[in-house]
Amino acid sequence: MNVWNLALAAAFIAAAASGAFYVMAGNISRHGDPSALSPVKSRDRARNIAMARAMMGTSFALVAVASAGLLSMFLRHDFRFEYVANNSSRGLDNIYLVSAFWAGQEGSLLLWALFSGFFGCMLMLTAKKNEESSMPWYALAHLMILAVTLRMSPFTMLAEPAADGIGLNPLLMNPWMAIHPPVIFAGYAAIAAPYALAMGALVRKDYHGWVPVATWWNLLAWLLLGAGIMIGARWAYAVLGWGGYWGWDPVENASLVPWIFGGALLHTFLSQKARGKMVRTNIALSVVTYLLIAYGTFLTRSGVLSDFSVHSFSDLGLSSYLLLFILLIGAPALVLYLARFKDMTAARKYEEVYERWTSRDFGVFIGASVLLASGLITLLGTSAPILTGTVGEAQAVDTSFYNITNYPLGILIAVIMGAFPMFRWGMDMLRSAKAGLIASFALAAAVTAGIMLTGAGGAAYLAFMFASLFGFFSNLYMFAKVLRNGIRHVGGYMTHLGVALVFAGIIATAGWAVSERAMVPIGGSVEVAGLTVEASSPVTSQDGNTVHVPLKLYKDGTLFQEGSPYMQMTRMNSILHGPMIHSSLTEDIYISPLTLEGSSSGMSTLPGKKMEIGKGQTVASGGFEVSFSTFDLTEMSLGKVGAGVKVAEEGTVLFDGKLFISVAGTGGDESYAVFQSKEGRYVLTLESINASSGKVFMDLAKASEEKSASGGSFLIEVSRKPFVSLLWIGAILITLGTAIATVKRFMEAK
Amino acid sequence: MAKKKTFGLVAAIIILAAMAAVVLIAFSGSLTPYVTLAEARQKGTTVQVAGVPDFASQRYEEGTNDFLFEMTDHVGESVTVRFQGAKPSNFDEAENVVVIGKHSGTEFVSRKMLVKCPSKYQAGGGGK
Repeated sequence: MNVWNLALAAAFIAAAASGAFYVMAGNISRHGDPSALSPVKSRDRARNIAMARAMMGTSFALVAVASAGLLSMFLRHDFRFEYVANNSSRGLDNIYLVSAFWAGQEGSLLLWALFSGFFGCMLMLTAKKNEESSMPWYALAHLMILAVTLRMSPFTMLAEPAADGIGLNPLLMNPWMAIHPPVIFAGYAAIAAPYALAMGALVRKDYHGWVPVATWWNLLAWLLLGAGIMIGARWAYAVLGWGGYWGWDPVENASLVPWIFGGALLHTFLSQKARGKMVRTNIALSVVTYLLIAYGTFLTRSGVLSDFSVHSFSDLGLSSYLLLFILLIGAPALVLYLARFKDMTAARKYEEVYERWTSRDFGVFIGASVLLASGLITLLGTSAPILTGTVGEAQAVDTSFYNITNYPLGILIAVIMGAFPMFRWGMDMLRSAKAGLIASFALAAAVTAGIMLTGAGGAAYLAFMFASLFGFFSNLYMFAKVLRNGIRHVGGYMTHLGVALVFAGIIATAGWAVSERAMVPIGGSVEVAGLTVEASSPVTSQDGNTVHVPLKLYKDGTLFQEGSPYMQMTRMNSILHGPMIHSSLTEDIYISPLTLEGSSSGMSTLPGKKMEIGKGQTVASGGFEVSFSTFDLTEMSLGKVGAGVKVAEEGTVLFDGKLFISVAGTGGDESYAVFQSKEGRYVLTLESINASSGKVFMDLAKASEEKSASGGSFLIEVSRKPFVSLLWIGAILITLGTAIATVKRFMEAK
Repeated sequence: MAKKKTFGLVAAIIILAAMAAVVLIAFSGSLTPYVTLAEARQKGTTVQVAGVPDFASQRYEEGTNDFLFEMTDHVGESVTVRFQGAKPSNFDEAENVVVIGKHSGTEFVSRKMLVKCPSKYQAGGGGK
C-alpha cells in the first residue's frame, strides 16, 4: 500500500470517526435544544461536535491531497502508476491531462469521493440544528463512496514504469466530455445531503425543521445533475455522430431517473414549506432519490448490464460493495420510516385537502405524481434485464418503450406545468387566472396552427407541441409578472420555460427532422436532402487511426459550409464517427460519416510478416527486433487484453507501448501501431493472444504510401433537424432558473 | 360527502390500475427476445435473430443505400436482412451476427446489428 492509498484509507477512518463523534453528540443532546443542556453536557456536546467537524474536514483534506497527487502524476507523466499510463500519454494537451483524471472508472470514483468530502463539510456548516442528527448519515454515504474508491484505487503501481502512456480515449478529447463527469459527480455527491437531512429528521422526530435546508440542497443537486445530463447530451450530439442526443442507455437513465425524482421533490418541498403538507412524501422521496443514485451506480458499474449497455462497465468485483451500499442506505431508512410513520403529521390540520383543485397544492400533487410515474417507468425499462433475468433469459427493452410510455406523461407534464403556476397555494384562483390561461392557450393554438401551415404533420407531435407551447406561454406570462418583484423570484418560471423549450426541441427533431443516406463519390458530388454535397479525397492522419473526408455543402448552388467529418479508430477498437454540423437557430444540418466504400481508406499495407513471440522474448525480422515484454490484463474488465511491445531498428527504439485486443471478439479490427523507420512507415498489428502458452501473434507490414486519389465513395447520413437549438437554449434556461431558485432558497434558509 | 370521497378513491384506483396495465403491456411488448426467423415472421414485433451472414451476398442497395445481405439462422432458414445503416467495420470478420428488428414482407428489417467476431484472446495460466 503506497502513501496515496494510505491517505484514502485515512480519509475513510476520519469519516467514520466523524460519524461516531456526531452520534455521541446526538446522544448527549438527545437531539433536543442544545441551549437547554446543563453546562457540563453542553461542553461535552460542543467537544464532540468540534471533533466530528475536524474529522470530516480531515477526511475531505485527505481526499483532496490524494486528488491533487493524482492530478500532478498526470501533469508530470508519472507512468509508474497504472491509471496514469492507461489514460494519458506524453503528447496529450494539458487541458486533457486534467480531464484524463476522470477518464476511467478509478479516477471518476475518486472525483466522486472528492465532491462527497467537500459537500460533507458544506453540509455540516449549513445544517444548523440538524447537524448532529443528519451528519452521521452523510458520513455513512461518504464512507461507502470511499470504500468503493479504495477498492478501485487509481494509485495502483506498475511492476515497472511504462515509457509512455497509452493515451486518452479519443471520445473523451472534447471540452464537453472534460466537464461532464465533474458536474455529474458533484450532483451525485450533493444528493446525499437531502437524504442525510431526511434521516436526521426521522431521528430527531422533527419533520419540518429540516425542510428549508434540504430544499436548497436538493435544488443544488438537481442543478448539478441536470447540467451534467444536458452536457452529456450535447457531447453525444456533437461527438458521437449518430445524430441523436439521448439513447436511453442504462448509463444515461441511471442519472435521469434520480433527476426526475429530485424534480418531483423540488415541488413537494415547496408544498411542505407553503402549506405544511406532504411530510411523509418528502422524507420518503429524499431517501429514495439517493437510493436511486446507489442503485444506478450498481446497475452501471457492477457488470449486471454489461451485455446491454455500450458504456456500462464489466464486473470489477464491485457488485458486493454496491449491494451493501444499497442495503446500508435502504434498510435503516425503511425501519425508521415505518417506526415513525404515524408520528409524521402535517403542520396544520387541513380538511378537504384536494378539494380546491385550482390550487397550487393540487398542481404539486398531480405534477409530482406524473413525474414519479415517468421516473418509475424509466426505472422499470432500465431494470428489464434484471427483472426478466430472474424468470428466464435476460432481455432488454427496445428504446421505443421509453418513448411510447413517456409520451403521454410528457404532454401531461407540459399541461400541468402550464396551468398550475397560475394558481396560488390553497386558494381558488380560477377567476383571476382565467385571462392568463386563455391567452396562453390561444397563443399556443396560433403557433401550432402556424407550424401546421409549414406542412409539419403528425397529430401526436402537434398535440405535444401544443402542450409545450401552452407551458411556454403561461410561464412566460408568470415570469414577466413575477419579475417585477425581483429577479430572485423568477427561478421556477424560468426553469419551466426551459423545460417547455427542451420539449419543443425534442418534438421538432423527433417529428420533423428529415434524414437521408447518400453515397458521395470521392471527387464528385451528390444531391441529398435539398443540398449538394461534394467530397474530396480522404486524408489519413499520421498515426493511421483517423480518416478525414473533406466535404463542401452547397444550397441553391452557393457554398455555405466546408468541413471534414472523420472516422477514427478508438482504443476500444470501435470506430468513432465524428460528425460535421452546420448549426443555425432554425435548423441544424448534421452529417454523419458512415463508411468509405471501395476505396483504400486509411492505410493499406503490403503483405506483412507473421510472427509468434513468447513472453520476454525478442524476435528479429526484416531488420527489426520485436520484443514482447508482458501481458496487460488491467483492462480485462473493459473487455480488453494488452501486450507490451517494443520495436527497435539497429538499437533505436521505434515503438514502445501497448497494443490491446478485445476479449469477447466484439471489437473489430486488430489493434495496431504505426511507426516510422528509415525505409518508410510500418504497421505492427497484434493479431491474437494466447495467454496459456504466453504467446502473442503479430504481423509486421510496410505501409503502402499511395493515397486513394480517386475511386470509392463516401457513405454519409445527412439530417436536417429543425430547431435543435431550442433544446440547448432550454437546457441553459433550466440551469439558470434552477441556479436562481437555489440562491433564493439558500437565503431563506439562513 | 363520504360518498364523494369513495367515488374519488375508486376512480383513482381504476385510473392507476389502467395506467399500470398499459405500462405492463408496453413493457412486455418492448422486450426483444432472441428468436428464430420462423418465430420472427410469426411475431411481427421487434426481436433479435442470431445468424451467420453470407458474405458474398452483401451489397448496398442503390437509391436507399440500405446494406443488404443473406443470413442463415441456427435452424437453417435464410432471409435477406435489410440493414438501415452502414456496414459495421468488423462485419467481414464476423462469426455470426445478431440483428435486431422486425420481419417485414420478405425481408428482415433492422436498424441495429451486433457483430460477434472470433475471440483473439485465449485465456489461461499466462498473464498476471
